[in-house]
Amino acid sequence: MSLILRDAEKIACAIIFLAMTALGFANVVVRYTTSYSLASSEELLTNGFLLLTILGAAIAARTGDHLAVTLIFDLLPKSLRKPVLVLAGMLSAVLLALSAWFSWELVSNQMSSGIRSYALQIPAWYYSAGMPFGFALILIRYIQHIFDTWESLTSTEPEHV
Amino acid sequence: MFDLGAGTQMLILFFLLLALRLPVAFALGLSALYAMWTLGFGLDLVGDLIATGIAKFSLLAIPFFILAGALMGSLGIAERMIRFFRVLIGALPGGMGVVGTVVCLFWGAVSGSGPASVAAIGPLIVKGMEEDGYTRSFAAGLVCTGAALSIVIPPSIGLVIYGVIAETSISQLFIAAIIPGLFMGILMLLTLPFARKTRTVEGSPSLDKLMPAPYADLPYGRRLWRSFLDSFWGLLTPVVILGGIYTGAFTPTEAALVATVYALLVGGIIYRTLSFKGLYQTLADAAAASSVVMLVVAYASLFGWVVTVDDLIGQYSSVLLGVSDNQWVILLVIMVILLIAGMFMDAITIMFICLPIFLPVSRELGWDPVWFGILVMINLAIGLFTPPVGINLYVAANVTRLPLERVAQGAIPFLLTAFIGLAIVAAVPEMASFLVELLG
Repeated sequence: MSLILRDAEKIACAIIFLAMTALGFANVVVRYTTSYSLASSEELLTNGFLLLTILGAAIAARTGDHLAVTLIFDLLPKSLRKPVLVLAGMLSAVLLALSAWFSWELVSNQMSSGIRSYALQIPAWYYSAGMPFGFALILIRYIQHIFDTWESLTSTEPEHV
Repeated sequence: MFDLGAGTQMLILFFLLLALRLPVAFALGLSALYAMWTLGFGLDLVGDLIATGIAKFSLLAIPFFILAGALMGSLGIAERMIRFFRVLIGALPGGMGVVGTVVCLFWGAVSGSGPASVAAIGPLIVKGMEEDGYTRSFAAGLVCTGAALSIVIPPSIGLVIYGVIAETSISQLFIAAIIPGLFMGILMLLTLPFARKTRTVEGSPSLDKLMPAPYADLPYGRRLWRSFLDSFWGLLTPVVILGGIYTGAFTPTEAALVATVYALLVGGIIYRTLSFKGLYQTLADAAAASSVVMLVVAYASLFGWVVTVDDLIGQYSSVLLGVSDNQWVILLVIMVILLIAGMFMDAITIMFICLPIFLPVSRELGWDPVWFGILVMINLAIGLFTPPVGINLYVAANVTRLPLERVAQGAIPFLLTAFIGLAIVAAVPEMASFLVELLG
């Protein structure tokens, strides 16, 4: 159970990615051999990609792999680093919470308007439903990362005193 | 006097947030949300802009090229390629420098991202070059440069993004980049004779321990043939990818899918290096690496929306056009801006911020968008290894455990060849257009 909690997005990403590879390759083979193209597979692939991106962003948030400019932070005096870290963490949290909120609004708009997808004609919110939860997960993982960074800043402090 | 528009405020806020070490993607999103809030409209579009910014078929090439590259690495296909080139040219005096360059370029032709390549193949190449009499800092500089060129050499994630922003054919961009990319690599080789010391560095850890030379007891011809057979399927990858795009059989996204399945088949059936656990880890790693790029794309689409609505494009591009009557001066200004930006930020972010302003200018001046794309990419590649802040220098410093200054020192000769190369590609547009016209 703890493994699933810790690695939920990794497992989900691996499954989605593999399924996308299989579907995409099948589409290439079908197009190449029969001159038919599956419009529905394009819809599934691009929306799988949406979910893959947001869940993958949670993996990268946990490990702190999202690209950042570290130059100025590294020039800061040690005493200022923790306050800046907290400020940056809070600002990031605001953005991710807003992203979750606005994508939730997208989902509920799509539910109430009853809009359908262009190829498969299924309700459009099926595809966007994962977004708010995905952004919430990025938020959790990023806060975990900020705590890790805080601890590493604390542990390196005594050397420089 | 200080009545700045929402768009300009957004730009200033973006740079302030970057300084706080906020991830670039978050800084883009947050400053765009602020601008929408100031403008008083657009916030209800946020969810939709993010979703449609990511869910594009042409962008699907990105996760699959990253996955294909990651599989090549984890399934041992890449290592076999390095071995082959080592046997082929490694025994010549100073040959490891050539091996390093060729491997970097070849790696660029199967993967498509810069800094990751430094970490993946850097250690082996640096070790090998050191044994062959090059200094470690020079070897590190070579890896930085060679890996930076992988954003020029197709398949290139940077070119996919350029194609999407400029609404230009990604296939054409890939084909156009082949000659300039290889040319930049060949120029790198010119530095080698000047850099090599005659005596081998004593006591450096042996490459033979890290990566035993295959079939050491066989004569050259048979050794070469054996390692060619070993690496044959890996060496075929660029042929599969580029050949498919080249002949028009595949779109770039399809080529990326085919490359992924190809790597899985080679690893699973021929080399038998595919394991369930390894596959899971590679899928998760590649998903994360692709998301790092795509989250920037997602939030940049909010940023781009504000740039369009607030007519920043019109303001800034007319300023740029007003700089001079001479189009070469304007091109020079654009390149200097890209180069400076490239020292601080990643290529993807820079393209989303700068291209909406540069592209109208280039259209106005009648430049070929494919040629311009190749120049932009070479510029951004140079930014990746320009001291003091090129990202690749940091990765290389980390991998080789050298101080940053030493790596930067090693990169300087390559900076020189890169600028010469850039000037030649800019002056001779046929280098980019030749293959496109030949196949068009």
